Amino acid sequence: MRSRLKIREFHVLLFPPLFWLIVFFAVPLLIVLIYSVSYRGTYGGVIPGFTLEHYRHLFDPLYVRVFGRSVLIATINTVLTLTLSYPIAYYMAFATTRVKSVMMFLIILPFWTNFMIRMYSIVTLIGDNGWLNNLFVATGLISRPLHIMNTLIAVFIGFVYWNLPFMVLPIFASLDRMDATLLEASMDLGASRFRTFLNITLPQSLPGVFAGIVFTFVPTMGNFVIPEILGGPNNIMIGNIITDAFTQARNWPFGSAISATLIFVVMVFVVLYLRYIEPVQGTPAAVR
Amino acid sequence: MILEIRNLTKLYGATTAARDVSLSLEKGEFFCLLGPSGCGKSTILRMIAGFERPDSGQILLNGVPITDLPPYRRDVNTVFQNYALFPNMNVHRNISYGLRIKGIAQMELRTRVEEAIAMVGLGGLEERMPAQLSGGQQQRVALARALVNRPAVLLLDEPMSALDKKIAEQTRTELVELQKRIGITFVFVTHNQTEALAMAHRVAVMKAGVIEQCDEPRGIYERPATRFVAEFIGSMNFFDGTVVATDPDGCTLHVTGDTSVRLQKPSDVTAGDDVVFMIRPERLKMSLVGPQEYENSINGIIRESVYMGETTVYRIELRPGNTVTVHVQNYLPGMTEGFYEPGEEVHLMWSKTSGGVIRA
Ligand SMILES: Nc1ncnc2c1ncn2[C@@H]1O[C@H](COP(=O)(O)OP(=O)(O)O)[C@@H](O)[C@H]1O
Ligand SMILES: [Mg+2]
Repeated sequence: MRSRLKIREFHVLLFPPLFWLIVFFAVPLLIVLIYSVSYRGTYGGVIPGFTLEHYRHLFDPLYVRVFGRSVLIATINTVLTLTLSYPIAYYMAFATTRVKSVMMFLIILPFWTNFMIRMYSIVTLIGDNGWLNNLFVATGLISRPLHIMNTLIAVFIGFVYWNLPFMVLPIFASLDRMDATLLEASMDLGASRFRTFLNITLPQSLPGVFAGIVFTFVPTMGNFVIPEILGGPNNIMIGNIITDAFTQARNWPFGSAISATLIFVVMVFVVLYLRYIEPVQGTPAAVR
Repeated sequence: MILEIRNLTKLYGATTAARDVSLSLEKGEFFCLLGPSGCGKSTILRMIAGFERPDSGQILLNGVPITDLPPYRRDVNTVFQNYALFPNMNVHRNISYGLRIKGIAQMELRTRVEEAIAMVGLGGLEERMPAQLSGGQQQRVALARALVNRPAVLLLDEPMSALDKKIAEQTRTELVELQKRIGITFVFVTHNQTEALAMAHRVAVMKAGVIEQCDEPRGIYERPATRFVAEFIGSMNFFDGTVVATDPDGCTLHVTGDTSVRLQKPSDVTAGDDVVFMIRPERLKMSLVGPQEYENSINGIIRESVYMGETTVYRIELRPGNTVTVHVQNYLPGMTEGFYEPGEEVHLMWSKTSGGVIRA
C-alpha cells in the first residue's frame, strides 16, 4: 500500500522532468499551434492574427496525396521492418550469452555514426555505380547496373535499415525476459515447437512488437532525409513538404499547420493503438 | 513395470550429471529421488520428460523406448520447480492447456478440468491469473495442469521447496492421499529427506550423478549402504572398528580401541575386517547409572548440550578426540535443565539391534 505521504514526495521528484517537458516540448508545440493560425509575412516571417487559411490549404489534393502516400510508406516499412526484426530478436534472445552480446554490439554499432553519413554510405552501396552493382556486374550476375537509387525500393532500404534497431531491441527485450521453462511446460503438455511458439512465445513478445511498431511508424511518418537522399524528387513524403514550407517557401505558418496536423494524426493513431490493440500484459482480452 | 531407466549417463562438459543410472518403477508407485543440490536429480527428471538427451542409456515407458521422442510425444507430465504457469492464462486455461492441445471435445474438457480443479481443491479460483495466486495455490494449479492429462508417469521437481514449512507439511499428506487415490506413478524429486521418507514407497539417494542406494524409506534409514547415505539422511555417529567374530545372527566388533560391541544384524563382514560402525544419535540411551537392560555400553563425559525444544543434543567425549552425539527426548521438563550438565560422566547404552557396519 502506498501512503499519501510517499505520493506527495514523488510529486516533488517529478518537478525537474516536468519542467523539462514544459519548456522543450509543450512550449514549442504551442508555438507551432500559434504560428499555424497566424498570417504569413510577405517576405517570410509570421504576422500575429487568426486565420484557418493554412489548414484549408492542406486539403489541396497534392498534399492529401503526399500525406496518404506517407502513411502507406510508413505502414509498409513497419511491416517490412517487423518481418526482418522478429527472427533476429528471436535468435538473439535464445542465443548464448556470448552471441547475445556480440549481436547487441552489432545492433548498437550504427548509433556511433552520424545519421546523414550512414544515409550517404547507403548511396555509395546501392547507387548505379555503387559497390553492389559493381560487384554484381563484375561477377556476371547481371549485365547492366540495377537502378535502385531514387526509387521506392531505395526509400524502403533506408527506412528498414534505420528502423531495424528500434524494432529488434524491444522485441528482444520482451523475449529475453520470458521464462524458458514456459516453453518446456508447453511441450510437456503436448504442444509441438510450432504450437508452443504460437501459444506461448508470440503472446509474450507482443508488448515488444507493439513498442517496436510505434517506434518505427511514428519517426518514419515525419522523416524527410531518407526520401530526399535515397528517394529523389518522385518519392517525397509529408516531412519533405514541411521542410520545404519552412526553408524554400519561407511559409512558416503553412509549415506549422502541416506539422500540427501530422502531430495530431500521429497522436490519434498512437492513442487508438495503445487503447485498443496493444495487449496489457497478464490481462486477457475477456477481462478487459 | 511402467518406467524403466537403463544405464543413463549425462555429462555437461566436465560435470557428470548422471552416471550409469538404472531404475525400475512399478505402476502406482510413489518414487522419490533424493540428494543434495546439484547431484543430478533434475537432470534425470528432464531426461524422462524429454528436455535433455542422455549421452547413453535408455528410457522405456510401458516397455516402449522413448529416449528419442520429443517431450510432446511422451505420456509423462511435469510439475516444474518454479511451476512454470502460463502468466497470460487464467487458472482454467492453464489447466485445460494440455487438453486443448490434444483437441479434446468441449464437453469432456470441461468435466475433466472441473474434476482436476476439485481434486486439488482450487474451486472458485478458475478465473484468477497466476500472479493473483499464493505459492500454495500456484503449486496446485501446476499439479492439476499436469494431472488433468492422466499421464502414465507424473514427474515432480521439488514441488514443495518454494512453500512455507507449514504449508509444505500439509501438502505432503494431501499429495500422498491424492497419489493413492488416482494411482498414477509419481517420480518425486527433493533434497528434503523428511519429505522423501514420509511420502515415498521407495527412495533413491543420489550423490554426484550416481545412485548410492535405492530402497524403502525404512531400509534407507535403518540400513544405509554407504557413509554418504548414512550422513545425508538423519544424523549418524561413526566409529572405526574391527570385526572380532561373526556368527549367523550378526557379529562382534571392537570399536574405539577395545570397547566390545555386539551387533545382531546380517552383514557380509568377516573376522579381521576393518569396518565403520554407525549408530544414530537417538538410538543411544544416556544414563548417570551403569549399564542396564542393553547389550552395549560405553561411557564418556558430557562436553556440550544444546537445547532444541523437543530434544536436547549432547556431545559426549568418549576419549580425547573421540566424540559422539546423543539425542535425548525431553519427555520431562525437569530434564532439560540442571540434570545432565557438561563435565559430568555418563553411560551410553544401546541395543544389539541398533547400529550397523559398512566397510572402512
Ligand atoms: N544445462 C546445463 N549446463 C551445464 N551444466 C548443467 C546443466 N544443467 C545441470 N548442470 C549441472 O549438472 C549437475 C546436476 O544438476 P541438476 O540435475 O540440476 O541437479 P539437482 O536437480 O540435483 O540440483 C549440476 O552440477 C549442474 O551444475
Ligand atoms: Mg533441481
